[in-house]
Amino acid sequence: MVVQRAAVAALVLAPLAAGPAWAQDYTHPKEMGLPEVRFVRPDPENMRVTMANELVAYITSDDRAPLVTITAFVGAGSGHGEAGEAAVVAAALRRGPASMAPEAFRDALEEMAAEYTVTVRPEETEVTLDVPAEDGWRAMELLADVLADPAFGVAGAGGPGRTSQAAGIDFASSIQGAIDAFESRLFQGHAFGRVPTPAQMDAARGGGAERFYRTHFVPGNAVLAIAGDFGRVEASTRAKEAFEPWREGERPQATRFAEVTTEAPRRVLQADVAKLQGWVVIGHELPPVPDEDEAALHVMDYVLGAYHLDSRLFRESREKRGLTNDNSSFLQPGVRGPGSYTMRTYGRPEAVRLLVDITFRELDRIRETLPTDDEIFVARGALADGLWATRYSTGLDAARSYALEWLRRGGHEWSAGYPGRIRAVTPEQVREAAQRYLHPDRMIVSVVGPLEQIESADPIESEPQLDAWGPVERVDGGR
Amino acid sequence: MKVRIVSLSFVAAIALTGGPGAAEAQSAYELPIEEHVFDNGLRLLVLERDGDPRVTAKIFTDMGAIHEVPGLLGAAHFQEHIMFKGTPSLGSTDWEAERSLRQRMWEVEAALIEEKNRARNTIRQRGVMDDYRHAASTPRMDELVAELEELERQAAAYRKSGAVNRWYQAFGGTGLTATTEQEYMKFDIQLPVERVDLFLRLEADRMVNTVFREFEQERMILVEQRLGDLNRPSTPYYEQMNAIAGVVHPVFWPEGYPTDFYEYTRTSQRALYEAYFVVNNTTLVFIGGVSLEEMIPKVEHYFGWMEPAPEPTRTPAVEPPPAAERRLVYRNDEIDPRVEFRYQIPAVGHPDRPAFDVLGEVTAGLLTDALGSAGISGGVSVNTRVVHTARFGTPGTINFEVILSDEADLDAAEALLDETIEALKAGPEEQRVARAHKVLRTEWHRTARDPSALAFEIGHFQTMDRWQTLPVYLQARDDTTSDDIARLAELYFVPENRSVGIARSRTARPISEELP
Repeated sequence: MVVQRAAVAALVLAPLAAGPAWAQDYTHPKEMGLPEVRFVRPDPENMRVTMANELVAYITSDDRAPLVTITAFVGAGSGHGEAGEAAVVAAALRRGPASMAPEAFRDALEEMAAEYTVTVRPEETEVTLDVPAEDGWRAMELLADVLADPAFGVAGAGGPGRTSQAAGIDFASSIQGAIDAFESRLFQGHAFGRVPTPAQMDAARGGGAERFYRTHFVPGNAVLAIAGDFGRVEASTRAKEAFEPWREGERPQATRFAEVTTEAPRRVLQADVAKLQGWVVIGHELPPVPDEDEAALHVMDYVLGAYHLDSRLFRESREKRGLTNDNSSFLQPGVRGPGSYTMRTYGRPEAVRLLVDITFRELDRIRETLPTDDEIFVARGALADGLWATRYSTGLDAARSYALEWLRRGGHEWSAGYPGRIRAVTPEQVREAAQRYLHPDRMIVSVVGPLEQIESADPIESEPQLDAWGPVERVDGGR
Repeated sequence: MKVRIVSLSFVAAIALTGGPGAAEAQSAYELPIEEHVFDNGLRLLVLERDGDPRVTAKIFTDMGAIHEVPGLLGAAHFQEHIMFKGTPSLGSTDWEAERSLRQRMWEVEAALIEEKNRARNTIRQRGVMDDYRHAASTPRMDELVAELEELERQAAAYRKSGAVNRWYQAFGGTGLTATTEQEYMKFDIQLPVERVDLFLRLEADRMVNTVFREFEQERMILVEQRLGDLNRPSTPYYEQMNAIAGVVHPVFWPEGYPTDFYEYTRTSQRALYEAYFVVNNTTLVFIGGVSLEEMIPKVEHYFGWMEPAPEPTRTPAVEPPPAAERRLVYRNDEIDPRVEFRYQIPAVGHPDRPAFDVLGEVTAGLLTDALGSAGISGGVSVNTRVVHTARFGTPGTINFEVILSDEADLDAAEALLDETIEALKAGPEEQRVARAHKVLRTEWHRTARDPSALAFEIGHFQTMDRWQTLPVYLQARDDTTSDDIARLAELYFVPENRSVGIARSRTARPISEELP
């Protein structure tokens, strides 16, 4: 008993003594005199190689490990051509070059312990091959063969390359179900929302995809990023040998994608699934953002909810209330076409309605009030000294970043000026960006979860029912 | 013999063609780590990459889930959450005012604990379906809980959120994460190399002065994470498999249930914090553009004043030798049907352990081929996972899993699994072993390319054995032969060391048909 009392006394006293210890340096981070970052990104001119067939490659050494990574970015995706054509081309790319049987291609990849991925996005396709350095030249030749002449017309859905495309909506599959439901309505009738019919897939396989490939998969519409444990001069020579035989072809005229827009009033999409949590996606389109708006928009997004542990959405939903593991915003611009801007969260059924309410409260707040000086200070540092710098801090990252920028912009002035533009953003510009790019009155609210439990839960903070946010549409066929 | 010739020719071809990276081939596993152990026991590991504009920094504490006790499972993970809540110097607008409220909280909580202990026969949970919405209580407990909530509400007025995270981000930090595994907890960040001092400033403070703010909110975050896990139909299956694969060692225990979460108190968490988050139980790992020489005085400045504490308690649990084959049948209509064999295997530091990685890779290929030959549609997973991470420092298991498209193939898949594993005892073809070597070597190089992943492995090995084991371990994998695999299979893959798991639907075959 005496021991127990002593233990309790010690535990009570311990926190009393938990003030700053005598010898520790408690200087506030802002007063530590942390130096300015001296980082200067590598010069893209020292990486760029232009081949005889107009193919541009960014080639650089990266000796952190004996590996070589080769990526091809092509300016064509599922939004181009007819529905299904990009998917059929991707399947051909996964099967390998026409000169090899798919099984032989698979064996070759296995022999190299390769990672091979083909990813189709609405406006671009990415093909990446990562191999041990000892196989680097062989891999370069193999990928060049695939890009120059993929294996169309071979039976089977695909090869070893991993796909990143979801075929349909699986409402029971985490937050992706809510995202897919949101996108199915945002991009309804738009090239970015097409789901090919069987007849369209037949047409794509019957020649459409090959025409699509011949139009879009040309050196002038592609950029390579090659980084690895090699000498740059030899790698450049090898790359030219491998990729210059890819037939010449002019870059196709840039596609002008239609705009998308949501309209007031808001709409609430719902799907009922027997899960322990509900998943929520709230948002609308993001139109192409002019360069002069971009920095303020990025700062605004960072303050509001960009995926990190100290945004307003995160603090209000998780830290202060314990409602969710995450509530974050996702700013996803298109390249030339529309993108989307969404807030995504999830939580136990009784928390879902409040999560929706809090999200709209924060959207209103950032539109109506100025961010604090601390918020601006943090966002500037995070974006300029953190996220921007990491895009160029290794050879692999820099080659990829430059390659994508070249494909999209044909130069590197944009990225060179990014840190300066971020540092110049003012609180007023942040509020203006919120008012210009966030429209809570016409957002789509997508909720997937146990609907009856969500509806019948007692309010925690007088939050309304979901139908208070707009007319409800069941997207899972239920009523 | 023919296979050996092919393999040698392949190696020679690399040398002749002088492929990229050939010059480094002999030193692939060398890790130029420099170490300094301070007088107070703090260990500093630095892997310098000259010219790297950023530095990856991690702080490992030798404390994880295996230090928990039944009824408080998940407490280590919860402690990680609480350690994001700031300190007196970061996270409060008026620490003196907040401090008096927190002092009262400790007193109220002590009364709450006493009431709970006194009323144990009243509040003991007797149901089997209790969840986070139905905690047992007494009127006095309710009163004290309400007082605690009110104190927290008052203290929140002084709260300055995002204490640690905010300043990392403001000064260019990226990749801020924290992880709690069975044996350790780590916090990590990548910073511009000029600003590495910030890591030391914030982590020294976090290690000693964490204020247990937003305690109830974080309790519910654990509930959220648990619900997220349970949304996957495979989660209960894997937890039940862990439960039969081991008997006593806490490495096989689950991550905690809502009933555990309700038992956490500031007092129990502080006991963990004070016992384990001590300087002599800590390892700092840096990879990037910093040297050991420049880091030693910086670390000394922020951590050097700390006194070593008594060596923290380690789990005394020793898993007894397995004595009988165990079998689990899990029925769920949402789970993909599967059959799995698990065998206990030894820890890092044991000479047999590295070869199991090669054995696993070889067997994955054999099983994939066997499924194809038998016309069975499905996927293969061979791993050394227990619970949710690779387990090396404590008894682990190697798991051979076949996930099927058609439940009707379950019996055939089990027979095929048995045959394939049995066939290992004759030794696999050397060509398969060579291919496994290459896959594992390449996987390692992908890890080494990523400074965060590499620092993780270094700290991971340090907490489960010592960092010097890592290159030796990798080399031992490369040296593993077909005969080694045969020996391991003979020794470890015996029926009494096997746990068999079957996952199937509830509806396809009624339970009554399965009973003898």
